[in-house]
Amino acid sequence: MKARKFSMKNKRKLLEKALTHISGLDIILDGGLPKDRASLVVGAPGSGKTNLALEFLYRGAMNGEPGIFLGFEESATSLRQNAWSFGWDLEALEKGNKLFILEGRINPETIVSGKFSLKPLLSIISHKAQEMKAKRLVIDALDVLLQLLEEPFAVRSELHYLNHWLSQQGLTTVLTLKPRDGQFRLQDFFYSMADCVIQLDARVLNQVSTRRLRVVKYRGSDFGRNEYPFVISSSGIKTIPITSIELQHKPFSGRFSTGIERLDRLLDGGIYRASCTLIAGEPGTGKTLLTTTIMQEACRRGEKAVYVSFEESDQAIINNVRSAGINLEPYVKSGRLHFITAMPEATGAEEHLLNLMEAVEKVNPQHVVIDAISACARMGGTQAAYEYLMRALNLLKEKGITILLINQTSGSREQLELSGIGISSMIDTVIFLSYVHGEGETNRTIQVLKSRGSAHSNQIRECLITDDGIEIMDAYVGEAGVLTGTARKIQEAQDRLAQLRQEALVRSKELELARMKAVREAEMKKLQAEIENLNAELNTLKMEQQISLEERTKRRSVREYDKNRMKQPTLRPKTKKK
Amino acid sequence: MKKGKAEGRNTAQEMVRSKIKPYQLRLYIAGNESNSKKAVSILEEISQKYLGSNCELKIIDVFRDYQAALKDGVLVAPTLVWVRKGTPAFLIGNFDRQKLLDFLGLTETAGGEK
Repeated sequence: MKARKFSMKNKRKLLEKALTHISGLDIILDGGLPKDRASLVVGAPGSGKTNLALEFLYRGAMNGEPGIFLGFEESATSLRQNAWSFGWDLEALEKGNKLFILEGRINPETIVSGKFSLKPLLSIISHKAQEMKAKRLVIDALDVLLQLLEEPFAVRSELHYLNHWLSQQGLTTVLTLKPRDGQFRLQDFFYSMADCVIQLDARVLNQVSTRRLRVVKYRGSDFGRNEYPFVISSSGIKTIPITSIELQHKPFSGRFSTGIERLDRLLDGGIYRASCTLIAGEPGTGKTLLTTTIMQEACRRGEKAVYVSFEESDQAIINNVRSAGINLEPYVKSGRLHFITAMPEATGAEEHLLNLMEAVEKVNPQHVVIDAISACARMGGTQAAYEYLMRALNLLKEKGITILLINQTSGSREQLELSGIGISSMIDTVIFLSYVHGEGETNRTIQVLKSRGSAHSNQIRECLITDDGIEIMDAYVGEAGVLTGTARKIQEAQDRLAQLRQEALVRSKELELARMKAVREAEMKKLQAEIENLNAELNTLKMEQQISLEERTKRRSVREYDKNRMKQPTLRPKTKKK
Repeated sequence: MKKGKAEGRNTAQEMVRSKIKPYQLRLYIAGNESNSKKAVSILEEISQKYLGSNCELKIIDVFRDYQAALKDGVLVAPTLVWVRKGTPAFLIGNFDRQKLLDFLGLTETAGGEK
């Protein structure tokens, strides 16, 4: 269905294609394998070649395209048994003339001598194909037969003939081949013969087996060029391509509340829908509690969530957060909250991804939680974790699902392993939870470190875990940094004291000033008084001076009168004597 | 395989001696391609020379009768099928005289030719 959507996008139809009907593969192949042409599936033993080829036939037969399976390795019985393990009833198809299995295993008693041609088997196939109106053909492990043809030249000519024959049959063909080392590389011939080459690979990374699929070439067609992980699940091959060649993330649309008002304010109104938020912190800082708080709030609004837990069982999470007033039970029962719990090392990254995407298809959630990305590395190393997360995030973002990732960090704040797995570009918001030690106690803090597309407070706040969930305190940002708990209280008291002290100081200065002013006034008055005193004294003196002057004048006039009176008798003789 | 050959030789010689027609041979060929033609000529020569009336030889062209090939599980040509006591033995490829004699459990000396 997806494939049809894909091919419709290509208006110019370059090549007719046959859907494989294998989950995800048609998207990678941009609509399927080249119709009526040969494709090659190469891979080491155990890489899943035969499974892929058989599924191509089975699904074709189920969708109205009968097919022939020619196998040189497995007996028809073992094929039927393998198919049965996927729930495919080959015998029913064989009876209905939709499938024909031709055993090409060489009897070990057979003596081989020199050159031979493949014409009999081709003759059988073309007759059989006409008879049952077959549209598909699988030739599994032809190399086993060709190996018997020791001469490279003989192999070459047989392959040329096969190629020519195939081009006239109108059969969409899948050939499988094991890569072999050696002077003569059969592979090169097959590669040039096939219009489409798919490489399969099974490897074990850190004790976890992973399967990869890669389209190496596809003549005349576009195709996904990456290595795609795939799994052989209970119903056949499944692969999840990073859906397409281009990124089609949905834009953010609106915000939703975290259920903690103060956190909403720190985030400038809540978390954006379709964004990816990382909640990071040391063990015990309240990551799971914060996440479940947000999920509880989402469920309360009637939204749905898928919670992937790699560390604890669902019941353990539910029980742990209940003591902090988070009750998830009703939402789990009503199906709004769907838990997926798995040990990361239990399966490969692909299977984890498939489980997640299957749950997403089923539940159709608005939110997905992955708890914790630090545990993903146990799926088979950092690369596996990276691929798991990258694919999961891409697929979820394309669906417009909000993602909450939990990451357990272990280091100090200086070595923040916020997204050690290299997915930081996918993360829109980071909420960092931490401990602050001091004054004989440890306190929790919360900080919004990054928030794309919105203003946010980057203050560190203390957060308390109460019976009522998480409570975020006011920021105390003093000269001593952020303070929490008792230290915050002490600091607040000290601050109050300092403030009072300062107020007192001001008041005393004011008083001093007032006093000084008073003193000045008093001094001035005293001086004025002194001035006045002096003035008064001066006046008195002046008066006295006046009076004495007047008296002297009076006396002189009196004396002059007397002198004049006595002058005539007495004074003359004295003057005459002279 | 070697063991098979040795047994084959013994029983074949016994059979030749006891005059039962022991050689039920079917040669599958693909039209008139050179390998097939060569196989036919060698087989005819050997069977005439060594087996004579002990041999019942059928030459089957897979293009004409694919069902016989399917029934015998013959996928390549030329293939010589020798059914002994119900079990078929196969010789595939463009065999030469020696390979054919070995397969049939005959030796050149048995026929007198040195």
